[in-house]
Amino acid sequence: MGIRIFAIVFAAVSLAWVVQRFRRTRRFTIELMAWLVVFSGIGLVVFVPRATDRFAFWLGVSSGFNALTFIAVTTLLLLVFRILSRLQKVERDLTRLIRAYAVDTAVQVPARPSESTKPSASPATSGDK
Amino acid sequence: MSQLVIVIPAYNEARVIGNTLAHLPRAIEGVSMRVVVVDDGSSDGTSDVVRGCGDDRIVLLRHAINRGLGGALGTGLAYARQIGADFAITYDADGQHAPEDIAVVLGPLQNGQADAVIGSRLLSPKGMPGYRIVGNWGLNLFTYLLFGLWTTDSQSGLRGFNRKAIDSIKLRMDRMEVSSEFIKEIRRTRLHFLEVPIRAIYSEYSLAKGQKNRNGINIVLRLLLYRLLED
Repeated sequence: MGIRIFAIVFAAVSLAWVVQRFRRTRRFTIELMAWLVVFSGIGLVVFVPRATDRFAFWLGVSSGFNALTFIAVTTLLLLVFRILSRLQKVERDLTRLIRAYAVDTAVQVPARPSESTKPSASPATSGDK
Repeated sequence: MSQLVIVIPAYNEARVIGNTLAHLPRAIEGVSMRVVVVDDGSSDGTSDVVRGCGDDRIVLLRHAINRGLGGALGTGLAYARQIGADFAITYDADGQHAPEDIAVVLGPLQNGQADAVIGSRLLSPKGMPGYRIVGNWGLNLFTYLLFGLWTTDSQSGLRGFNRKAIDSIKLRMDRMEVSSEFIKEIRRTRLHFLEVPIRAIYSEYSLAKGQKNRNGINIVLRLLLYRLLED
């Protein structure tokens, strides 16, 4: 019973969040629709648990609960994979930016006056390439 | 005369970088030298030490924030590419390399024997701590399984490249795992590759700063992740 209450509260809060977001942006995007389906689905499964049995049979697992667990884990793994991919791209872009700036602002170290053969050629130069 | 760029990545190396720079060879036969220090977002005044060393062969590049060993080496090689350097050698800032080994690594590049040279500490591992030898062999094996090129020291910091290699190697990894990425790139771009024995100088400082075996686990995980997400 506890899990039902938890799932209903979770689905209700999440649906409220989706609706609020729609009211704010006034844009019905695919992402919004996907969240709506997911959270409504959670509510549906709690009220009509047998609804998932046919799907479980088709998937080849023993119960609807197992089928949902399988789908949830797979979806989460996919999301993690996608987030890691994005993160790696952002890290790479950041390095590229910092690299370009570092190369553009390269500074030649000035020689010590006593060691230098060209006393006037020693000020640090910006943009040495 | 050919131009050699020595790339030294440095992150919080203020204590030792002055000494490392002071011991670099004054000249190497057949090449004009430029030393590129890449300060990888240090907070201990590494850049100030480099600026104050009074050697106008040195060029300082600064990362605004820390990007890791791979990021710093990539920046040094990008600079070498930009100035059209004929050779580039990567060299650790912590003083673990013998300066005379620069010529040892450069030799096969100068006489056209190889496009890329790895200075291997494990061809004669005298003085290398046992746990380091084991850790390095483990990473060599892993690098081989992942990228298909065997080397006796995949984690060496002393490597040399000719212009063909400088132009073709594309680094994408930002952290310590870049050492294995060099091996991957050598294979991907079909560069002629050679190993030469070098000496490693182990001090308390370099042992504390260098790759520890627990870093090895991170390297393995990052390499696996890289293979998984490679696009």
